[in-house]
Amino acid sequence: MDLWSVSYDLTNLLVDIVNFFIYGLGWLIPGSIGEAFDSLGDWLASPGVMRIFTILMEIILLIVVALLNVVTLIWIERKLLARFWDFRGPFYVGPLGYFQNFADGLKFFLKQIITPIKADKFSYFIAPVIFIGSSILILGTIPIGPEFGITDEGTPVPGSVILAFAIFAVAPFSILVAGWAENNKFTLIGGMRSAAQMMSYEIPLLLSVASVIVLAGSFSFVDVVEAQADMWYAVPLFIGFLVFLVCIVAEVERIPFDLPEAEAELVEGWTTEYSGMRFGFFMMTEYVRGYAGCAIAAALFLGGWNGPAIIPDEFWFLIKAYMVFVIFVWIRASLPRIRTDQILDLGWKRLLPLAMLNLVIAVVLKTLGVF
Amino acid sequence: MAEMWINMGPQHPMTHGLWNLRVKVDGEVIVDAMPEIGYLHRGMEKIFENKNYTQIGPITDRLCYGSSITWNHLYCMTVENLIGVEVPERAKYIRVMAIEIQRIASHMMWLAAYAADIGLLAGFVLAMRDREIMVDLLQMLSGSRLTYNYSRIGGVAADLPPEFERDCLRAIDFFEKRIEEHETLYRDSKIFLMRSEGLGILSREDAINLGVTGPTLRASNVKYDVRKHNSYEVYDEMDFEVQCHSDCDVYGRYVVRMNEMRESCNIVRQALKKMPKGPVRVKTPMYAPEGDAIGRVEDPRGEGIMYVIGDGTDKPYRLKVRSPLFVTLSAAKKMLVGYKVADVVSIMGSIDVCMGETDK
Amino acid sequence: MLSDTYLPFAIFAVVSLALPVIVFWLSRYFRPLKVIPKQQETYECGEVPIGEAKIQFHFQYYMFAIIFVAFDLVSIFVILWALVFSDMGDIAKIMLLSFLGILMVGVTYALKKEEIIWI
Repeated sequence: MDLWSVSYDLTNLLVDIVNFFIYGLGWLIPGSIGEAFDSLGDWLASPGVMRIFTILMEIILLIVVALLNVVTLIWIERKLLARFWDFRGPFYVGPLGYFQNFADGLKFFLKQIITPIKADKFSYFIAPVIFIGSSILILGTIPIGPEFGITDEGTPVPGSVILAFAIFAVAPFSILVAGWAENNKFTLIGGMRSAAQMMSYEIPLLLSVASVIVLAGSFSFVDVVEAQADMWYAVPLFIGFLVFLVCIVAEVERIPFDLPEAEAELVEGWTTEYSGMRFGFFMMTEYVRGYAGCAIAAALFLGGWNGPAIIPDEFWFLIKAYMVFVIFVWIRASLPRIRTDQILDLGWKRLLPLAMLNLVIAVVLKTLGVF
Repeated sequence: MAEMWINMGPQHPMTHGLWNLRVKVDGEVIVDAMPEIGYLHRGMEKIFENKNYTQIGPITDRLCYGSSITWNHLYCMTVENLIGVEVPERAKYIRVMAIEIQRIASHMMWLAAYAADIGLLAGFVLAMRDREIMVDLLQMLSGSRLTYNYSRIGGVAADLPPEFERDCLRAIDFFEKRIEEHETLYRDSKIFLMRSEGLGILSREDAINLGVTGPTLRASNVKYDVRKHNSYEVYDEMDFEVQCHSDCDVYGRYVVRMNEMRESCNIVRQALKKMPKGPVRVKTPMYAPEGDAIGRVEDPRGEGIMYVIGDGTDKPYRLKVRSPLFVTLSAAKKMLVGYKVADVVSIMGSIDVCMGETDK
Repeated sequence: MLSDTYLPFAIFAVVSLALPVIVFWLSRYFRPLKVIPKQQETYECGEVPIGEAKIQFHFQYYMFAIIFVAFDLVSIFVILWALVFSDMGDIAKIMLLSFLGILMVGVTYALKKEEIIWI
């Protein structure tokens, strides 16, 4: 599906409908006011304004699709965890309990928001906005299909791989700020843990991405995926894929690496003092990040939307991303949480050498001309 | 660098009940710890003084919600010692069997709580599921599922229901297979070993000096078990090993508890096999004579002692309860200092906290 | 031009930052607003907090933080090097790999030594 042309058509339709009324008013009202309406209609239909509106329409469509995916992922996780743990999961609300998440969201929406009196008001408010906003922003970098991403008149944004990781890395800072602003001991420790955790996984993550870029020779998701038409990078760079999976689990803060939250140790970690819709948004944002992580893994290592043409490209991409998410759920269902110093040891003593080895493999493969 | 005191409790996921562990941390390292109890104090011992012997029975169930049969039996045994009645042989075997089933259920509940503490929710759900097998057996025996009130002064409340022996043997066989499944979830998990090995070390000397009992003591490599060394009921006729471990750490406590469950399965089998026919209860007088008596049992959490003074009426003059965890909690500081905040849950989870009996 | 190339992304950034703000503001009209003073106290498991939380926190991973800063810059460099990999001469390829090798030796040394220093 070509997202640009679809949103262009939609915007055109909307502008036509609006202009119908504006020109109608201009025809009805005589004099200079009528001419002003006419020029307003002309302005709306001018290419520059249409471009902005089309981009907005693209963004809205992309966010809606992504949030639908996120809701489906939450539902998949609930159902799968239930099966792993011998019960049935949600099944009252909607078919197979699919609408349970909407019900939960509504409940959070109606809950009271309490601001602790000792908190630093400004940073307390701004930290979740940055956390949530940056997490949603990641979705803009990842194209689901060859033409289903943020594009400007059909040309995708260049350097999207590096943008995705840059935005991914913003969240720990907002967690640190939130943990400090809440003026609570548990949140303080949670925020500090988040910083420590980022130090451990960031380098191996970037090195394993670098190995992919060595093979693909481009910063664009579209190019990286096109380069995998013959073979997925997960096959030659298997070590890198494993390192990437471990690091991305740490990046999206899921068990066994959910140290900043650690609900048994730090009550609710850095989110302890947040309530109501803010907490609800945090819960959702975790899965937004989870979805983004799965999508990036699918795009960088599993061949993205490449697949037999029996179903549309976008579905291939989503199937692969969901498969990665199922692995995440499986990990969550069977592993306990590890400790801060242990994740640092893991990151620096195990993952870093493996990522280096993987980079060398990529270099050798590229030099020998295999890719 | 500033150090800070953190209140972990009374409303904290780590506490399993209502108590407060104050830890002083420097960064994430614990430099001091102070357990604070009393949030669940119900004045049990005072209540006992105002009820007659029959009425006290059900209340002793509430001492520990995790292993109510053990405490109920301890009370009955103590009062029997005071009155001087001999319980029928069959009742003794039934009691031993019920206590051991309760011990398995209690240890399974510990496993569930501990797994949830270290973030392994699979362990929580699966252990609670398998605890259900034992709870079902106890429900067949007594009719209830949490506070059973099964022992009576002079015997037990009712004889075994029909087909109980068959169901019980089946359940035990099935459960032993399930324990192996649980072991694969823990013993073979690298992260679990990272979270339990070498943590919360309580040396043999410290354990003895602080009066720690139960699995925590045995994990500190002290071979002491009231069932073996001060045998009550018919434990001297049972063939079982006292489990102990030389690691003195959280993992040792885990191993001891898992092995104890296997031993308990064996004891239940032996008790069912050796059980004679006969009555299960004798009539006892309502009034206890003047004098005092003591009873000691091996609770799933340690050594439980009750001391009763009778004054010739139908009410005890004094009934003192020695709860094992009240003593074990005092070792918290010894076990915690030097480890990280994340280890508090693992270490405190490993001593199987039950606030009901601690605060009485 | 840079601003023209990344215009869609800039608009996306504005939309995604506005989304939480709008939702928080909207929920204002649906949620209860009455606040009682007890609710606004700091949560510390139901006890009165002992002292402030805004203290000089002992950040025990300081050594890791220092290695991290050095290595993070290097990783950016590595990514750029990876982008132009096929256009480079053999010497440039080998130079960076040997540079990474030297860094690895440094990290190994730091971690070995640091087991005495850290925490």
